[in-house]
Amino acid sequence: MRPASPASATPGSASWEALGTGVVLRVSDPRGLGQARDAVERELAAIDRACSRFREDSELSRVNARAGRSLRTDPLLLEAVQVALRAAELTDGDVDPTIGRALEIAGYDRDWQLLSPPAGELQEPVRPRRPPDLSARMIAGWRRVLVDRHRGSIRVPAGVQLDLGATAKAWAADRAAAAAAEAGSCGALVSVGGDVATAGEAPAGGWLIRVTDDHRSDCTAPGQTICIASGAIATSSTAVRRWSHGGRTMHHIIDPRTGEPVEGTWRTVSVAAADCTDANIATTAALVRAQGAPEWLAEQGLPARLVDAAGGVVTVAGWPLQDAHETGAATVHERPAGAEGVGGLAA
Amino acid sequence: MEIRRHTTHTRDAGLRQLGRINRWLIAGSVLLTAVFAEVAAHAFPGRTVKTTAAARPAGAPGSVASTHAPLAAPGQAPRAGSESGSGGETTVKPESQPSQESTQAPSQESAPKQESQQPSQESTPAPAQESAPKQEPTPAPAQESAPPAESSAPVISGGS
Repeated sequence: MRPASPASATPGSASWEALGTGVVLRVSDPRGLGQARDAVERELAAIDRACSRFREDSELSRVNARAGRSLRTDPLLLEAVQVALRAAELTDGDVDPTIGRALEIAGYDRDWQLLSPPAGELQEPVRPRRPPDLSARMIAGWRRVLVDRHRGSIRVPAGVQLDLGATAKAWAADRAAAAAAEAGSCGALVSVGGDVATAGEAPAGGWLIRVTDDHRSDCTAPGQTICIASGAIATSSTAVRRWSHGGRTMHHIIDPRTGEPVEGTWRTVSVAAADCTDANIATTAALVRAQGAPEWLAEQGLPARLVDAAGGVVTVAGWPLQDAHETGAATVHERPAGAEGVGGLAA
Repeated sequence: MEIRRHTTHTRDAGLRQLGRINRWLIAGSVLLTAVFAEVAAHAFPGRTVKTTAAARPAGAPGSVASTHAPLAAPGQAPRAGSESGSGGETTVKPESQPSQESTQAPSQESAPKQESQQPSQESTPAPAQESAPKQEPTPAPAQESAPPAESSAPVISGGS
């Protein structure tokens, strides 16, 4: 993890870099900011040590390096893997932590800070550290990962690499928000790479959040501004974290059934849930599920906003309507929960 | 006499050889057992070993919600927000041509009851979606009720 920078020190708000992405902390009482920030930094540092795929000294790297054997490990990683396996179970494998090899083959084999060009544009083809092995496109599957809570051990099948990217940041945001609220004795909002979690009492009027394609955007980016009093908002997008590899444009949302980046209906999906982990599970699964996503989200009762490649917007399960002029969307449609025949944008 | 001694030597040699064979057989069977166990471990899917809720102290490491716990809806659905008057800019770049907005209000009837999984989230108990009001854009929060201006610009939720 990179050291915190004094990028922002306004009362009630702070931002810095951690876990290879941007972190934002807001507190309802500025007097608690210092203690809240310390708590968030501690939490994120611990999660980075446990769950980073790009740190050779992390617990996850140790487990991946000993794939095929059972290994006692840090309770934090144990919990993170359980969260990832729960995500896989709840999404029928759409969010699968065993896609590590597929990501490596796609060229995502180092920290994004090292992979991405400064402006976030597509860059020259990246050479993976290991020679391509097409057999690794056969994803082993989450069902073969053994977690033994009694012994505190994890066993990853031989040849499989775990990647917790689909759940770890959101889970970190949840833990960090809870830690911040407790340390600062106030309401807290923590965004880790655009995955936003809250804890404690919200400020009067709630927390303002703008959903858009890229968490590095400013408030003028096309999207929608919403307000929450509790819970969390997560957004996943195929429009960011893209690179070119082998003449193809890649991104980090992998379809576990093919081992390749999803080529689905939706560009960006935002979901509100009770916690950020669940919200992020839903956004990732929605991108993989493509046309079936609105119906699935409605069945889960999760308010969601889905943006297709052309900029058309579909909302489900009580996501607030927005003015078309605000988003600049081609179309804005509200899908009644449980509606028949959802998919596409034909109203 | 000589013949008897020879016979005894032959017998002892045979017994020693049998002992050696026995030891090799035992070692071989242990090795084969280990090999078969490893092959079986690779050939068949594993599973997560779960502790029961009763056996697991609350808040203990690893005490995440049951792997069968469904995704939890928020206690309250998000409201339309506006950063106008709170220091944020509202000008947006159009992604494509604007169009009409659906007037259909969201149906809440099929949404399940909402459960909060996060003990740290101090939201009120989630009401069933049936009782939730229609989700309509609400007025922007009053300026005086908002947090300090510097920190009241929206937090960005986007892909990363």
